[in-house]
Amino acid sequence: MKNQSFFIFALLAFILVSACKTSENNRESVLDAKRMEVEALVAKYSSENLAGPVNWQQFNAALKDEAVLEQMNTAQLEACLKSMTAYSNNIILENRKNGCDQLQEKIKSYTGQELKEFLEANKDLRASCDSLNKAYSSGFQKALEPCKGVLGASVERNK
Amino acid sequence: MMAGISGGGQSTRTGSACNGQVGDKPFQHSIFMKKILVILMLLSSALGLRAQGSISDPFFNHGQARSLNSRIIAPLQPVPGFVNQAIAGMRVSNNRNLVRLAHLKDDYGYAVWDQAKTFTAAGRQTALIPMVRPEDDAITGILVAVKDGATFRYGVMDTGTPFPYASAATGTPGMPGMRDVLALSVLFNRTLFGEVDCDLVQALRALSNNNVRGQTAGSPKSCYVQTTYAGQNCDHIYGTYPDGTMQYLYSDCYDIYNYSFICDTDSADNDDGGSGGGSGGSGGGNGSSGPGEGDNESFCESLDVHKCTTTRVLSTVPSGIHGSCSIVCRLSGCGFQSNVFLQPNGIAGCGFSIGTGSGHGISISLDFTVSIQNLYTNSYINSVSTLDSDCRVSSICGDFFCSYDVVISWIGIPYIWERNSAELSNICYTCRNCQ
Repeated sequence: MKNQSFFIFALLAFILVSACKTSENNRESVLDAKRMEVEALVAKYSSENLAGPVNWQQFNAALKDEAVLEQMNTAQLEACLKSMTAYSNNIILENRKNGCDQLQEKIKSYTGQELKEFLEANKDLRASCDSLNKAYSSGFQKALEPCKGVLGASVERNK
Repeated sequence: MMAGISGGGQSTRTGSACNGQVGDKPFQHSIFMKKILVILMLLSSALGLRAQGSISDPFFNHGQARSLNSRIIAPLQPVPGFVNQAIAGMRVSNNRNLVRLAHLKDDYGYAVWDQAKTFTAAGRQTALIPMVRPEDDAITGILVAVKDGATFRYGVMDTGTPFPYASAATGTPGMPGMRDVLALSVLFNRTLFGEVDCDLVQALRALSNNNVRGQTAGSPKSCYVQTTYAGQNCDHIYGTYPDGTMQYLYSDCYDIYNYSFICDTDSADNDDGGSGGGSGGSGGGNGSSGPGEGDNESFCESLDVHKCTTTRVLSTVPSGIHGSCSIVCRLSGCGFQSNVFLQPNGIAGCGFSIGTGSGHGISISLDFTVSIQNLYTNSYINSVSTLDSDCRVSSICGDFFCSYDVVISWIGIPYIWERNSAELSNICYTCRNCQ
């Protein structure tokens, strides 16, 4: 009788451990699939991002916490990437289109009093570039909006 | 190095010949033709003499030095009338001028005529003209032109031969010496090329009678000279002539300028590594010695006026959530060095996070990190003025310009947040031991 109940307990324990392992394997495979999905999204929008390539080391560090990955809303993530990429690219393209990039390059070739004279001679273009950039930067909050829901909640804090 | 040569006009004596008899028409005709021929010969001779009388060489072109040296930053100015006279004197074709021209071109390069300094000394007009080689960034010497009556005298002061006046004993009162040549060279270098050869500044410091303080370890990385008009002074210039005799050239009052040398060294941020002081006149005046160490050092140290730095907020990047990141510029040191960074947490630590949970218990979050990229800064000194000579406290004022991108990185992805530029004019702060 004693041996019989021991056998039953052992069997139950085995079933329980197997069930847990299966569940864990399932969770890991779900997270792996989600990680791949997130990577694909980031890679897609990174290729369109004129501000530069993604730093994958930082990306992996940010998503190291599985809870972050688990919590991540991929639809919201895509909306965030789309919105931020569009915002950043707009600034870069508008600067190029309006000659502000060229102006910056020229500015860098001057020093000292020469620069002062160059700035004075190009004050109109500088003013238009400044107002262009100010107009765009005020739209940052709007571009950031979809990102607030990436982790499901909308709580923000200073770093 | 100083030699007198004269430049004067040419004179032509004319005469007439009359060998014919009056009334003989064919003969009269012949005489008339001969007269015409003689006049033509005289005219052509005179024209020929005039052509030979002026040396034609690009050296005398006003813009020649500038066309061969693109490093000259001094704005082009009209060449003073007296300098044009000095040029005309040098162009008179005689052996001495031809030899001198070859010597000047070979040994010194070309004269930057429009940057000449002119003044009158004891009724003698004088010009100091900097000499440069093509694409060099420092002057090679200073051409001196003195009008002595109807004659021009020319000489060259140079830094390679600091005592060109060999027949006068070193230290003869009123004699231009190494310090004068160095000071003038420093002033011309500053005007023409914007910066100063640190070796010249070191040499001037070494010559200072009352040096402010020893040079700190290491050579200066860069030096600037600050000049301010300080009134008039009187001095005397002597020259050595080709026969070796020394002769008084001129002596009179002229404008003098205070100059201070500001050098950046490898020492601490707020330390310029010491500086020298003195005065150099446009006519080569003797430099005055720099201020000495004060006896009331501890009192001076206690003054709260020598922070030698100022900080300005250039812009604020709103995170829109719980505060903001400020882009700040700090200007400091005797050399007006600039440093741009983010506040409150430094260049890469400014930003915010989004996360889950309540305000009290954030469980997970993703950081948005703000940084400054493509930063370009330009700062330079406008003026250095003494506020307290005993404590060597001076006010340093300058201009600053910068442009930068504010980049926000999120899960390793960079985004341009803002493109910005900022200009600060006449920003001042006080320092000790800058002059």
